[in-house]
Amino acid sequence: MLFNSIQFALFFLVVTIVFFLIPHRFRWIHLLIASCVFYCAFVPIYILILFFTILIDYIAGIYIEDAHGAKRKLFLTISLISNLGVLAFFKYYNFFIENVNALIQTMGLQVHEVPYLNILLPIGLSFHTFQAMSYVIEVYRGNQKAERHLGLYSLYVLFYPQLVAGPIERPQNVLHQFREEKKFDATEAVSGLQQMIWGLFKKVVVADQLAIYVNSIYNNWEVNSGFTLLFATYCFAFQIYCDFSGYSDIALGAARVMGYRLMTNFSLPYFSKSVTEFWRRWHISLSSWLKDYLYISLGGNRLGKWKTYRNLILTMLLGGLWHGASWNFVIWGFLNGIYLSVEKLIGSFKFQTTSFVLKCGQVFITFHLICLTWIFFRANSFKQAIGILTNMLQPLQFWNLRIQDTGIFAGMTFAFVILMCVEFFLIRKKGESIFNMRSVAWSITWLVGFTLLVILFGVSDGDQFIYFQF
Amino acid sequence: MRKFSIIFLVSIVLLIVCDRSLGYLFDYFYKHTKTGQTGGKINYYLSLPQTPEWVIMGNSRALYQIIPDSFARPTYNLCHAGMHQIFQTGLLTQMEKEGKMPPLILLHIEPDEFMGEQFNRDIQNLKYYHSKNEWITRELNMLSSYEKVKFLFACYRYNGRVISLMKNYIQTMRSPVASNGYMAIEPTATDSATTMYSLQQKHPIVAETINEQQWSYLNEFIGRCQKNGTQVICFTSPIYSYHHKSSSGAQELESRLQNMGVPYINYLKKNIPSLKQKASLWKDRHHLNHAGAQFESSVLADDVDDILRQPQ
Repeated sequence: MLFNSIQFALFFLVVTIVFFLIPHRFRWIHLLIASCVFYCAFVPIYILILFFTILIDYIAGIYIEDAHGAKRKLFLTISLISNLGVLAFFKYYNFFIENVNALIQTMGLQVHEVPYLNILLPIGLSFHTFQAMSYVIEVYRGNQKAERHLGLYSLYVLFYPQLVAGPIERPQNVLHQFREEKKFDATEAVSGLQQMIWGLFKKVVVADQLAIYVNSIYNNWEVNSGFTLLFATYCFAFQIYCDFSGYSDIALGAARVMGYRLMTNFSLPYFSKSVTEFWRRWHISLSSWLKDYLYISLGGNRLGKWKTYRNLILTMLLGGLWHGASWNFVIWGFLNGIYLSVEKLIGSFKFQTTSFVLKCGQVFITFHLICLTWIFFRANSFKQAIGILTNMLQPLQFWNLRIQDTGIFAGMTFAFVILMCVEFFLIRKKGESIFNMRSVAWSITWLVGFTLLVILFGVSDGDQFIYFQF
Repeated sequence: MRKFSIIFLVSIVLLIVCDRSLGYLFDYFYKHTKTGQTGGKINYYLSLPQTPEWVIMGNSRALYQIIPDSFARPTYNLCHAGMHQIFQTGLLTQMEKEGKMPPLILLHIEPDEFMGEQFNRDIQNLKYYHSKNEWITRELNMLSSYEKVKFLFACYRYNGRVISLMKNYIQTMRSPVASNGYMAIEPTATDSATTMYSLQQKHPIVAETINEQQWSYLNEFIGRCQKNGTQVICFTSPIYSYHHKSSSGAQELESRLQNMGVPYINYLKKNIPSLKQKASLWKDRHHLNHAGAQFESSVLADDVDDILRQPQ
């Protein structure tokens, strides 16, 4: 069940109405059932994997809290191995085998190839695995009390707005909210709806229109060159941003209508003046997860200069691998790790400026550095990414922009202008308060205006969300 | 709760009012548009006082390559770039409904289209005719189980095409259209280079068997033509430096057309010598420029004449 479908609109409507009609003590059951239905709309059988890890982590949490000394570490290890084991099996097994087979072939060994697994990746596996790991780590660190209510813990993992593509929540932020009695709040409900429609606009109007152009260029990269490929890469940068942040906005909005607050996942990342700042604004729930549980666990910046760089690169490498089992994602992570290390080395603070022109320059450079990494993210293989880069840098055919369909090009330009106007003039200045109901007229204009834009310009048969595959 | 109910109800009412108003406005623009791919070309054809004797239908490889003036009879090029068979059949049903069936249709087909994946989404380009044309409505509703709900919004019929519609409307208002539907790709100095460059593009691998759903659209097209006394001749334009390998699926397609009594001219098989290995006549691997189009059109005109001369 995709957020950009009528099926979801009906599901959301029914779930929300029932939520407010039933007494508080039954609401967790209602949300849990709704979340299971939501997940089962993809591949039903995979919900058993979720139940398995939920049970392991629930028990581990209690044991960690009750145990002392080395036993606590043992239970934490069991839980982490279970979570990472499931992730490794479903997500990385074939990647591992592919590399083993390639190695066997390179060495010329006369052995049979190791067979691949013919299985589908459970939707959103990386997201709920990291969320579950966050819980056991926080219990181990003593920042969170173990949840004794299996139903509420299950809801923490399964809560449908953030189940398949985040935000990757922390138990401290969410678990207590399920205990609180939520009363219907008109302001929250309208604000949530406003955020949902804005997210839908970003997905179906901006991202899906950009996707048509990007796919037509990237799928025929052999016959495209220069500025066409560069422009398609710019478009992809905004496609992935609007696709993922659009999803997050719908998730945050859907939860907010019911009175739940989830963490902000994006904060205008392309206005960043350095890659370090970019990672504070892009997929915040993942980058903070990596920082809190990986970078700091590796020693962070406490072990000297060189180990800090090593930790940064290692963290981003694993962050890349989190996205997908492919060397392209590893390179994507590695490039980001290098950027962060170089910025640390030269000290980005030295470049702080009040000049608007210099700030624009910094934003321009950061955006292009990030775009370079997107090429590896979008390409289907390393060979293709290198081919795209080579074709892009052809000096003879550089100034040649292929527009493809003028209607789609005009549509995506129009959508991009609206996106920039809202983000630059409203969200940049006022933050997410623009979703707070400022006046009845403002809310009605927002809701009706963006609904009409979605009807008129939205791609009605668009792709599923890019981040669902992770 | 009261505040929320007010906002919710006012929003719904305002949405309905705006949707209906915009629907009427776009209907007005649509009806007065006589150029472009967002319906203008169809409107122009349907408004012609006299139906042309021959009509060419198909995708960009017929739109940019078949010049109506090359034929002996009054001919109109009703091709739409990027459109597959379902669109052509949908368009034909509307021509039939409005009594605008010509005596002969030259239908450009791509054999690969009838093997492998389904291209039924092109019917969305005829969304304007939802609830106005039974066949189109049925096909649109079949796209998804919630398609009918989307059409509750009057504006949805113009989804994804508002800007093109406005552009085409302004263009129609600025200069009255009088064309034969053909769109020329003017030759440029870089055509040879871009054609050679486009050879790097891999030819997609298609299935060997006929996709029955795709075939059903062509079958419907031919059946409706035969019912209305319209003769159909199918043809396929050449591809630069293409080595024809007759797959079992393509052979099956040819024999099905033969069984239905539909002549088929396949320039993938039957070479046009004047186009062979002359990259300057091409815009890219799949499309001829205007210079190349003149050659193909003239050869096609001769071949069609030959077919028509044969006793039925």
